[in-house]
Amino acid sequence: MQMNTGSREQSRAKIQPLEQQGITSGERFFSDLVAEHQEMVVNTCFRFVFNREDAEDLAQEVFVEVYRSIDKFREEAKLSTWIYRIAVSKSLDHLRRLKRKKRFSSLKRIIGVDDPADTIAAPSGDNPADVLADKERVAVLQEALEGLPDNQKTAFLLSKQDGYSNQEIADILQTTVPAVESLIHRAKKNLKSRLERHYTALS
Amino acid sequence: MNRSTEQRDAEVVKTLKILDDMPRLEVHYLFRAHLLQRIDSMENRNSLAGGFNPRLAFFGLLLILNIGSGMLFFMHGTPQSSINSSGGLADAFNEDYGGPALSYYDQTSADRADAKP
Repeated sequence: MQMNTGSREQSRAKIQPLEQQGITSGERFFSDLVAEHQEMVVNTCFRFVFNREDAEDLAQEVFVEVYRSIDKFREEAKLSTWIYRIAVSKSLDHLRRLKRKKRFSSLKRIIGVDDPADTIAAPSGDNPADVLADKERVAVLQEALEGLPDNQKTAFLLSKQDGYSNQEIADILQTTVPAVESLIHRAKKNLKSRLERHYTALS
Repeated sequence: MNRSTEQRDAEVVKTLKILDDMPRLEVHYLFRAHLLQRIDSMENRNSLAGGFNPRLAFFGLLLILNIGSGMLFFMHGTPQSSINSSGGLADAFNEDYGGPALSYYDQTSADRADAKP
């Protein structure tokens, strides 16, 4: 069932006929809301965390938050924008947590206690060397992204995902389209120089 | 441009390309079921704890404290009133036995004795 999610008013308009049918409107509405946005939310989280399981866990948290605070949703923004904003903030929180954990585990390494959760999973591709090289590149990219300010990172990562126009990114970040364009440009420049520095240091 | 710079730039391009090549995830078919189950269990927990209203609990606590302090006041108030009444009794005794008729020491006669040469 395709649901019109332009605004809460539109959502309410959708609920009313369901209530007339005697169907629990809240549950049905929420279930439809999840069905419509789950893919976008999971993929948005995936862009930030580079890991399917984490992305799905985060998406679950996003929808739990949506369920809890749907009453607080103000009709200034589209419902979808509000949901994606929650997805972005949950993903950024997750990255911050990881950063803290990383610091803590490096401290543990220094004092000689290894964290088994840090071990890299076995490569699943055909050519182990390629897979390893890709893994290294992903790690380098993640580290470079980690160094970007949150707004640059968000604008850049969302711009790389299908389905987000600059206007939508601007709505999510609560800014203007020119500001988003500037953020994306600066993020690219920053990221490139960080990667160049990394590979120069390696060679 | 020397070879190492070319290599570095190639690596940078390859690394950035990861973002463009990221696959679009298909959501697990049980995602929604798990989510709704999680929300159901969350709701159940909330309904179990539904009788607990923090504001109501706070007012209840205040009421108990009020009643408790009131009781303390009355409990300490009762012996104090007995002390007060015993104080009153003492005053009454003083008046009864401290009168000039029963007094063994009369100030005026003492004054007269002092005045005699």
